[in-house]
Amino acid sequence: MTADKLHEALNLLPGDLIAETDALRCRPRKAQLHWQRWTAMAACFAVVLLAGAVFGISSLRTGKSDSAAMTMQAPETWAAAEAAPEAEDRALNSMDAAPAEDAGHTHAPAEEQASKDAVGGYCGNTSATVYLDGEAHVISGSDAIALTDILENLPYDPEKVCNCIAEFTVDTELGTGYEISLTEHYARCADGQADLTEEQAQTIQKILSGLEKG
Amino acid sequence: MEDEQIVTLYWNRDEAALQETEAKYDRYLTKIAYNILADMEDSLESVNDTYLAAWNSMPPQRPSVLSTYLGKLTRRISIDRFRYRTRDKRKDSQYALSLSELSECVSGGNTTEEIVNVKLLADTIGVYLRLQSEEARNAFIGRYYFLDPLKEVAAYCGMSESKCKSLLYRTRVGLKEYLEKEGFCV
Repeated sequence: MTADKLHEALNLLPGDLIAETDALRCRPRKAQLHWQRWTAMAACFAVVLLAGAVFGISSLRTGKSDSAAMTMQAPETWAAAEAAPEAEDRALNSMDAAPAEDAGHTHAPAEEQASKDAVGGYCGNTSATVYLDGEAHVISGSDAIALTDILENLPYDPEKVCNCIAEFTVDTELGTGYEISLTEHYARCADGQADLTEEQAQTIQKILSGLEKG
Repeated sequence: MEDEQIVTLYWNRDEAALQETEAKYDRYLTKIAYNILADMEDSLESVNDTYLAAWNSMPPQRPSVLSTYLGKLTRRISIDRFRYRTRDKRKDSQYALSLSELSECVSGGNTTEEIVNVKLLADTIGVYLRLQSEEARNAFIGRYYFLDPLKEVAAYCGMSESKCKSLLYRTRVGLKEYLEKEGFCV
């Protein structure tokens, strides 16, 4: 017997056996397979979108830090920036204005009488650390005393805390995690948030001009 | 159009029967032919020969399942065509592959070929297949009657290719044993 003979015999198989298999092979394939494929594609697309969104947000934050860093690392140009053309000011401010608008509020320097004395005569402090753009800068001596004194004596209000992104943070010997924005004139810590006066902001600005890398 | 109506057209010698058959079964029959011949031109010729054979055989034939009837005609015509074709074209054919696989079930000798009653052999294979599981039966008929590629058989039987291959092997071995038991010289 040969395989050809078997094929001849298969051609004479009862019709019901053939029809049974034929029905199976002609049956539409499960649409589920297509759905699985589309679902997988949609999942990949969602992951890409999510990654893009996260990357975009982190880029925006980094961009803000970079702009703040540029301002901090070149304090001597700060005054020049204030005197810069109006259009440039608007461009610079627009980046920081966005979060404030998002939070439905704006920041303004505190009135002189609204805060305690800028220098309260804090003694014993020998250093403070400023964290700016991922780098630690150690401040010592009278600058550290003055910065600590300002930050320790601000009238922090727990109900005033906003979600605006700070430009840098400061750790003193008395407390950690002071978040400060000189552009928006505020400082915040675990006790709350307080506005900086124009004078205090300028004092801190001067202190930061002598930053040394920690 | 329903199969019964098409068969009635054949019996009435109405040429619309050929058009209706082509409209409904052309793709189906072409696939069967292509599985055997692996050549589109030859397959189309086989399908055309099928229509002619159907026209010549109805009447007297009155098949209850037209697709199965036409499929058998196409299969037979395509195998005949395959046998007379040049050997170069054989290598890609599912029929050639199935011949190789089915040769495990038989000796390949010619001495007993003449005394084998093909109809009896077909009946015995039919009985054997009915003894198998539905899964094994469908895989066997899909692979060796319709000559579908292993991948397709596995897909419509809902199993992996390796499982399908293993199932077909066991079914072939079982068929050989069954045929020997029934007195066939394989």
